[in-house]
Amino acid sequence: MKKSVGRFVKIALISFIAFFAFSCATSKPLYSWYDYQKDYYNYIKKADNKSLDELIKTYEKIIEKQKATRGTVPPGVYADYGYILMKKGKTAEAKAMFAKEVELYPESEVFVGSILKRLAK
Amino acid sequence: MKKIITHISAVLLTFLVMSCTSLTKEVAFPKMYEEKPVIFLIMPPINNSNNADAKDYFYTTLNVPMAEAGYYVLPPVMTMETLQRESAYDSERFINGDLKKFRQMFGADVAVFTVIKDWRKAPIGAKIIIEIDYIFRSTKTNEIIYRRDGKIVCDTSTGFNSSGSLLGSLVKLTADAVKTAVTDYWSIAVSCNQVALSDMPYGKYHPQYGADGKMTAMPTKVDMTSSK
Repeated sequence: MKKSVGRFVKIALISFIAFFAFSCATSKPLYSWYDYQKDYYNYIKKADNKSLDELIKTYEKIIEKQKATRGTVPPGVYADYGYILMKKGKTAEAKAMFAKEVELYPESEVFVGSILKRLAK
Repeated sequence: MKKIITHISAVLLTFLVMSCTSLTKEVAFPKMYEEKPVIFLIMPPINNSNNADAKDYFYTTLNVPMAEAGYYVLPPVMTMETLQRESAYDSERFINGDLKKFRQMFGADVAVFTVIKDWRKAPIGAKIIIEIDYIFRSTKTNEIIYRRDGKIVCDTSTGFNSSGSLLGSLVKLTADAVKTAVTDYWSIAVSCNQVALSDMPYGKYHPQYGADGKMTAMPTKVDMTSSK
């Protein structure tokens, strides 16, 4: 009896540890965002050149360095970065970014693809 | 030893019983599992609070938690300007209306509406009280497929140890007041979203996509606390 109780406790403890280890593993971020949320908010709020430059730098960092679970650029980053480049008159670079968004996330075709087509005209 | 074993077993049993009776994601949000949405469109928040900036705090912080849950979130800068251009910036007009337009224009499966009902400082301490309703509506059926109507108390305190003395308490009170005054409020929205949306079913880019149905879900209406 004592032995079986001990075994039960052992199994329960192992399951518990496994459960916690599992929980920890799943809470890992999918993407590296760096200061994206702060920089994006500041850009919306201030809309000046300094906040725009900071946001651009963060987009570039997100595109270059992905260390999180998926190891790929998060949804929307190529597209928004491209959009800002387009507004700065850098059409060729903008097109390349839109194309990357559609390549990485084909579901963006309806929206991002339509802008890409408009630029190609 | 026997006593310890009894205690552990009791805790484990309570835990197991609680797990069995708790609400699961597939029961709470069945339409999310039926429709399997992929593309999320974040609509400009509806701000009914007295804080005029609350709309921006939430609009700029919603795409990250949705992407982290495994969804494709439409690029927020681009979509915002498109919505403005198409005179669709006013979410009040669409929160109960037909969403077909957003499916055609953006390819969106889900339109994410947020109604900020309140954003205020608590009278004492370094706390911000936020009342917000997150409403995810399907663009296919116009039905609500996920909802969280939350009151979230966000603690922005310094964690300064007052050591029980009156002077210590005063120092902490002042430090907290200063901190609340200079806090980056967008980061309060970040932690608010994090706790309120923590039971969102996972999307196709999440490693546990389709395998989280038995995980615990919260009821629609919740009172929660978060800390920065």
